[in-house]
Formats: sequence, C-alpha cells, structure tokens
Amino acid sequence: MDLSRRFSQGSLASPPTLGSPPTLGHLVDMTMMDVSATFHGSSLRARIQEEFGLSEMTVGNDTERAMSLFQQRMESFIVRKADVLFQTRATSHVRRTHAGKDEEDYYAVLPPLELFMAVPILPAKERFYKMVQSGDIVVGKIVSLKDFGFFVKLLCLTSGGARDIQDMDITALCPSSDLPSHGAHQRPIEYYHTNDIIQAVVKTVSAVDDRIVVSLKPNHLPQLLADVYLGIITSDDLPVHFRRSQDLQTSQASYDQLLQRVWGFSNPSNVAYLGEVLDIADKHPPSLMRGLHRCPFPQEDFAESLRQHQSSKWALACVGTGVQHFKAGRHVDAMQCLEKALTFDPENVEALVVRGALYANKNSLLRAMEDFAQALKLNPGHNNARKYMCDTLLARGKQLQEEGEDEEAMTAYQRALVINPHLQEASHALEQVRTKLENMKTVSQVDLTTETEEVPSELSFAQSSKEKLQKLLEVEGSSKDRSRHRKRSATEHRMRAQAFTAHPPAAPEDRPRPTRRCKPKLRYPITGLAPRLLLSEKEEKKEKTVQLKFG
Amino acid sequence: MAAPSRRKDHHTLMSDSKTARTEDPSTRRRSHHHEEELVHFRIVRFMMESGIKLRMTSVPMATAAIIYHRFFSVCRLQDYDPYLIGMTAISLASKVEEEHLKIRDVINVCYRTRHMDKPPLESQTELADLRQAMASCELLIMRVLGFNVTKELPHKYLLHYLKTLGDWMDASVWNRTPIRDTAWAMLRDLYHGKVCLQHKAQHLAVAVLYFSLLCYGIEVPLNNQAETEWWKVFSDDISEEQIKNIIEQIMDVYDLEKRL
Repeated sequence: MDLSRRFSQGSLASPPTLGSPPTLGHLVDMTMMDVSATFHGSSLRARIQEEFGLSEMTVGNDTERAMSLFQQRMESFIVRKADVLFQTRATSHVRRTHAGKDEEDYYAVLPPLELFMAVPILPAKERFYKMVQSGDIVVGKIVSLKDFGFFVKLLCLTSGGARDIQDMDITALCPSSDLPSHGAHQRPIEYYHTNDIIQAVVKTVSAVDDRIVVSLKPNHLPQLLADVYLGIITSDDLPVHFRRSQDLQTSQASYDQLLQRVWGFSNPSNVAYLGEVLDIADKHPPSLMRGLHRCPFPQEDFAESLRQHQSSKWALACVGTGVQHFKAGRHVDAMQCLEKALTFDPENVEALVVRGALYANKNSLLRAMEDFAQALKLNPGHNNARKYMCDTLLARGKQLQEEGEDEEAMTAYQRALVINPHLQEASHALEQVRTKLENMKTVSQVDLTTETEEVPSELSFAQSSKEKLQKLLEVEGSSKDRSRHRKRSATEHRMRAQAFTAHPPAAPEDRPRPTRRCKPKLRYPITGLAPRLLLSEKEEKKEKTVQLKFG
Repeated sequence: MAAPSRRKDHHTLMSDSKTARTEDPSTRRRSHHHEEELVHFRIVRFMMESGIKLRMTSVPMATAAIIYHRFFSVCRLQDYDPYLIGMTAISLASKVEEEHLKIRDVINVCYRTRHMDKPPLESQTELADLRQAMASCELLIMRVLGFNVTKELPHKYLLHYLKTLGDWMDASVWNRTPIRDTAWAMLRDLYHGKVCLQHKAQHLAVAVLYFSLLCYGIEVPLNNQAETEWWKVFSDDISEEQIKNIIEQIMDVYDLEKRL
C-alpha cells in the first residue's frame, strides 16, 4: 500500500514496474480494471495490486463500501478471474439496426427502458442531448412552418437505440436548404404542413445551446443506413417501439407481461438473431471457467474430423477384403466390397484406384479412367493411380485407333504422356498416329484441289440423282413382297452414295459415327479401303483384352 | 415413480474405478454430497466439452445440462453410468431444441472426450453397442422425467434484457466493456451446478446481468434517480437479496472448479 502512494505521479497507462509479471500488462486492459476498482473501493484495488504485483496510482475518489460477506466474496471472485474478465479484446460493436417493419417479429421489440424505469425528465433530457449524434434517424411532428424551414417536435429515435423523448418537448430545426425538391413549380417548403409526421436524419447537434438541426436529404445519412426513407410518414410507419410505448401508457403493463405478449418473443430463432445483433459469438462460446475459456481442443477432436477418420478406416478395411477377393478370382465379390468402401468414404483414394483397376479388367475403360482421374485429383502423387491411368489410356488409345478415331486416340496418348512423360510406348504410338494423320491430310488436300472443278456439275448431277432415288423409293414402296432385309442393287447404292455426298448431314467431326457402309467422298479419297465401321463393339472388345497387374 | 433398475448388459463409457469415499461417518453425508457435486461438475464439464466439439449452441447445451441434473435429482449416482446419461442427454436435447445432431457424431465425440488416451472409435461393433445403449438410455431418461423434457430457459430473456439495457447505456461504454460476453459466459457456466434448476428463468437472467455489471463496476445511468431500478423493471417479483443469493450460488459453482 505504501509503495502505491509513493508512485502517485505515474499515469494510468504506464507499464508496470519490474516486480510484476512481464506479460500481464499486454493481456489485461488496465482502464477496465481501474473502472472496476474505482467502483468497488480501495480494498479491491489493494488486492489486485497485491495479486499481480502492480504498482499503480490510487485514484483519490474510490467509493468506500461496507465490507459485507457478499462484497468480500465478490472481490475475491474478481481478483481470481481478473485475467479473463479484463482481457484485452477488440471492441465489439452492437449492430446498429434501423427499427424497420421487418425487424418487428425477429425478436420482441419493446419500448425503451427509461419509460419503465420512469426516470425524471430533466436529467433524461440532459442525457439525450449528450447522446444524440449526427446520423441518428429521428421521427417528429411539424409544429411550425417558417420561411427558412420548419420546426419539428421530436417524438422518438428510430436508430441508435429507442429513446423516449415524446414528453421532453425537444424541438429541432429543419432548414429549407435541407429539403428535397418535389417539383419545379413548388418551393420545397410548401410541400409540408403542420402536424405532418416526418422521418429525418440528424445533421448537427450543438451541445452548448442544445440545438439540433435535422435534414431530409439522403446524403446526410450514414453509410450503414443509406437506404432509409426520409420524408413524410404515416402513423403506420411509426417505429414499433414507439407504438408500443403509446400502448403502454394506457395499459400500464410491466416489462415481463409485455414481453410475453409480443409475438417476436416466441420466435425460436430470436436467440440466434439477437446473438448476432449483440455480437455474442456462440460459435466460439465465451466462458469464465479455466478449462473452457480458451478453446483448448485440437481440430481433429471435432465431430467432422472424427467422422471422416472413422469413415476412411472402414473404407480401407473394405478395400482390403476386396483385394483379397480379386486375387482369389471372385470379381463380383470384389466389386461389391469396393462399392461398400466407396459408400463409406466416397473420396477414398485407395478405393477409387482399386475400383478403377477392377473396371479396367472388365474392359469398362471409360469408367476406369473416371475413377483414376478422380483419384489423381485427390492425390496427384499416387503411384499406382498414375501407372494404371497410363496403361488404361494406352489401351483406350489403341481401341480408338482401331475404330478409326485417330484424333481422339492422339489425345489419349497425349494425356498418357502428360502423366508420365517417359512412357516409351505412348510416345511411339503417338508418333505413329501423328504421321498417319498427316499423311491422310496431305492426300486429302491433293484430292480437294482436283475435285473443286467438278463441284458445279456435281450439284446438278445431285439434283437429278435425287429425283432418280425418289423414283426408286416409290418403286420399292409399291412392291408388296418387299422384305426388310432386301439387298439393294448396285445402282441404288451408288445413287444413295451420291445423294449423300451432295448433301452431307453434318461436319465430319461432330457427326455421330455413321452406321452405313457409305461415307462421304472427301474423307477417304483413297477409296477401296472401306473403313471398318460395321464391326460391332463386342467383336472389338474381344480383340483387345487388357490385363492390368496389381502392384 | 420408482426409478428403474440398472441393466447390467449396457455398454458403458465409464471405466471401472469409482471415487473413494471417506471413512469418517459423521462427515460422510456432507462430504458425500460434496463429492457428488464434484462428480456432477465433472460430467457436465465433459458434456460442455463435447458440445463445443459438436458445435452445439448454448440453448441445446443448457437443455442437456438440465436433463442431466433433473435425472440425478431423482436417481442415485451409483446406479447408472453418468457419462452415458450425459451423452444421451446431449442427443435428447438436440432433438428437443430442433438442432439435430447425428448419433454417430455424438458417440464419436463423447467417446473421444471420455477416453483421451485411447484411439478414436473405429470398431463398428462397439459403435453399434453404444448406439443400442443410447437408445435404451433415452427411453429410461424420458420415463424418469415423465416425458417432460422442456423447461423455459433464461437465454431468451437475457438477450432481450441486454438489448433493452444496451439501448439505454452509453454506446462507448457498452461497446468497450465486454459485459455482454461475460454475462453470456456466466449463463453458460452456471449450468455446471444445480442452481439452474432452482430458479425461474427471468431471475437467472437478471442475476447474471447484475453480476456482470458488478464485476466491471459499471452503473446504469440515472438508476438511483429512477422510480424503479433497472433489475426491478426486468423482473418485478425479485428482490436485491434474492439476486445476491443467486450470485453467491453462481460463485459456488466457480469454486467447484478449483477443487477439481
């Protein structure tokens, strides 16, 4: 106690001297602590200083309190929890709401506290002048119109907190310069009449002579409330709390009774809403208990990560049994196990790779590629996935080549090379395809030049051929014993081919694979080699069975 | 209603060791009572930790604590596994307050919180056993509580009081001093003890707010000149003595933590 008196010249915010724990000054807000100590008295101050070894100036006007048992307990509690209570934290701002109609049912909007407390008018009026600031939105009734503006008797505030000012007889001025114009033929002031209720924004407050100037121009509105309507309002638009305070005067209900009556009180989400408005973080809930006040739990103990961990364990177990089944040759069982694993954990890399391999062995190459692609997306470095993906792409490339889709085969080989640039087989195959395509391109270009002269004559020839074809078709339709699989004559074939050439249905690239024997002339000018389009898919698959080994 | 007897084939969360009792017969009843309080504190602490990991909000957490306290005001602690009851109370409360939690998540988190030293639950059979245990436990709790599991909670009241009071206070003081956070923290913490069962929701809310203001030494402006003091406005059937009593009981709950 003596030490504190000696250092009476120090400021409140001075850092503690050597005797104190070095970190306390940073963690604790000294002003808050000081306010509390001033309130409770010198004994609390002494105890805090003793506890934390701070030498602080004693403010002379500590209230002296009777040392009841309760007070003593209170002080012990404060001292014990001081580091949590007075922790420095960011200022938390209550959301500045505008008492609009929408807010009415989110929670119970009640008349202001001072109405229930019945505070004396004069001190309340003084307080109002101190509290009101520019940017607050007020509602008032016009009492007198003058040339330079009109005077408004303030009824209530609609933002920055409800305020009961109706009986305080506060008048504010709204100068003509702050009125929006309502038409070219009228002075702005003529739009308004006595006893109109208007909503305006406070422009300036002069503390010295208690004068308030309001404005109806939207540019004086603060940013957060930029879309609030300013101007004449009806009695329906008066804020809820004001209307309720009017009712209160007649009904004389208590706060609790009013609370129970209001609908917004039974809204089940009012807790969440008010928590947000009041900036109380329920996601990281505050606590004064030592064990809970800093969230000391590692992220992997939370529900989601425990669930994920468990799912992947179960999935891996299933994959294990699946592989066993596969090695024993029971492919159906293996597939079942894999499907089960993927229902547990749809993003399990191992399961995807094994299922991809199973698909590839069954020759569903596209599905296999999808699985490998997803596995690689989740884990780009997975060796097995890359290996199998390359093998599958190569196989797919060969398949496509045999179907004649050389460009797509090329993309497949290129993809394989992207994954593994050192793959010999892929680069060889790619070169092969590339040269083949280039050859075909040069030949087709040569052919194009020879064929351009024939084009005009071809058109007329096409027309006449079309007529002939139609006639042929009519002949077909009239014969009664035609069978569906009737062989067509050679002329017919030629006709149809030419008709088809003259009017090709679509560009070669996005045309679906044609099932006819004939193809347009331009594509395979080296005729004689009819493309092997009619080999059914089943036969093709029999030709290439891909065997993938398990790593 | 007679409390149903414990079923021995339950899979439980509790380990085999139980708290030892003192030998002195004269102080046995009192210390027994204190020890029980301590056990309940520990279990509710376990429930709070699990609740945080399950990302539960304050209202279902409070309901779970109330279910737990009400159950053990009827049944004896020795007959049941309190951890299982606690875990089931959490799941039941999440259903009551319509903030549904998956049972698998509840079991995973509670198992992990209870057995920090063991690896997290992996066996499907053990999970199925616990699920079964929880289902029968839920029915047991419902029967003990007479199927009446809802109680009006102080959280709604506290938030409305904070809003109304905040409109009246100086904005700078209100924003700078963490009165709201502290009041909410105290409201959450008091569920560790039985004080939550003994008072009306409005009284608890007012007491917590009074306590918070008292800690920071903040006074409500013009309170001494008003006809009705602010706490009387919020709950007109409470006296300052009662408020101080409730505050002392809350401080008792904080003292329990010291003895842990």
